[in-house]
Amino acid sequence: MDHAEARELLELAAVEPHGFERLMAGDTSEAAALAGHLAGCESCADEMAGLRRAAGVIREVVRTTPPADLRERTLAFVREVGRDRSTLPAAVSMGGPAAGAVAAETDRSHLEAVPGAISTSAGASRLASGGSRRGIGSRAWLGAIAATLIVSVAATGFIVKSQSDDQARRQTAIVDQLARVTSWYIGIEAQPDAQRIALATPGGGGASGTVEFSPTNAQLVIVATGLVEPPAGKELGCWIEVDGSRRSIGRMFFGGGLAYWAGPVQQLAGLRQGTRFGVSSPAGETVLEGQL
Amino acid sequence: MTEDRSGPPNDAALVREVASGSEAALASLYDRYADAVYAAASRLTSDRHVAEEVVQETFLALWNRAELYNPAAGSLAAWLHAIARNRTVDRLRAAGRRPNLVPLSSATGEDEHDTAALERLVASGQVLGGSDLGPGPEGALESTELRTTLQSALGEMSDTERTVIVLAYREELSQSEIAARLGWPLGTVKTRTRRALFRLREVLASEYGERAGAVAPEPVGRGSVE
Repeated sequence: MDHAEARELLELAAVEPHGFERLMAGDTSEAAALAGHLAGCESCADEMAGLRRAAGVIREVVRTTPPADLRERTLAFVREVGRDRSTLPAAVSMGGPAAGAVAAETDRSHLEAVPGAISTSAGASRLASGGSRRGIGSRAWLGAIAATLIVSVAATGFIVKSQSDDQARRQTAIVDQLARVTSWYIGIEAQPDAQRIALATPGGGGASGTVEFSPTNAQLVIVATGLVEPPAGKELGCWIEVDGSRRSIGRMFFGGGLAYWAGPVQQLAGLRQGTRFGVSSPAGETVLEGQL
Repeated sequence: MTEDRSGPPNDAALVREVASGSEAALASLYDRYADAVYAAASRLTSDRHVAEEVVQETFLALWNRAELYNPAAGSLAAWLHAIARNRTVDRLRAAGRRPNLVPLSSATGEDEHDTAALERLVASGQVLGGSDLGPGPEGALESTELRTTLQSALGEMSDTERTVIVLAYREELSQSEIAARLGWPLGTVKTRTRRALFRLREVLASEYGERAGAVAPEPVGRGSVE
């Protein structure tokens, strides 16, 4: 066997599954001839060592590189079964139309239970009894959301496979929304200029709430308890009033006994003392209010 | 929201755009991380279809739960890697297979050589514990640069050469099986495969020398046809 024949055998072994192992097994005349050649040819022996190393590297890269068409298949898959984000509005500006950032979503995906990763706090029990007139402390309502999440997760069960299970899908949509509200809240709390305003019912009442916002990241969260969800087609609206001029922020969403809105709001910087935040009924009556 | 306008958007900015419904942002993140996600799944299963589905499910999870990503808690790469790993394990368990960590000595059958045992276990989808790879070529795989170099070289190959390499190394087909799949003469398959391998070894040798096992390759021998 000459060098060219030996190199050809080695190169083909490098691309065959378990090629080197079969070649080295030595149970064919070809393998025996190669073994004899390698025993007396240092350059071919070196070549075999180099081929084994290179083939290992190339095999690993090829094996762990996704096929080119996977990109379009993945994007198409997400387009088909991913959540509908087209209902989410752009950032709400002070002069713009009302929009709710945490919109009720059209669920088109196979759903999984949101893991109950948030721990409850003692404030949850206080909220259950009607809340404080001075507004909900941050830990307390975060704990309320967590408790609601855990109860909702338990009620929903685990993976929902059928899209005809409307109740479970709505439950899971609420869980997702509350998880997002919590995520927004945590993001705002992390900002050094985070501000909190307590909301109360004018003239006294069982409802209360909190507005949390940060001018730095232009994000705002409103959470309230004790509000009655209006009938279909009607909505409670949250707003901000600056120098007597009221601007709508969005409509309040309901779930798990809470009413909430979370999202980006521009022009939160430079708000002066006396700036008012509130929630109004479909008829325009203020049901919750507070001021900076 | 602030953004560094001097370069491409950072991960957190792109994730915020995904949360706002931007498919372009999702596509950008796919371009950045699909390789790593696929590689993470491929290391736990030899079934490439599972690995591909894990990639799809991971980016679906990113799309559905973009608001839950907190950059202060960790990198997006780590988040996606964790999702991919969990999805892969879930699928293997659902299929009745578990990614076990077993010592090779306990898995080797009677009269079975370590090499054969290793190949058998890897082919079955089992995860094996091992020692550090050290400075050898396998350790060099951790280098993104090496990976990118080889991927570029594969991309620049002719379709015929790339096809035979992919069928050989990704789908683990023999030369005869490749010839049957493509309807080519066996000799043509062998020639194109050797030429493709030669090109890739040239790239490795020029970039990394012997560290990557690329002793300067000999040219393809006699009888080359195209």
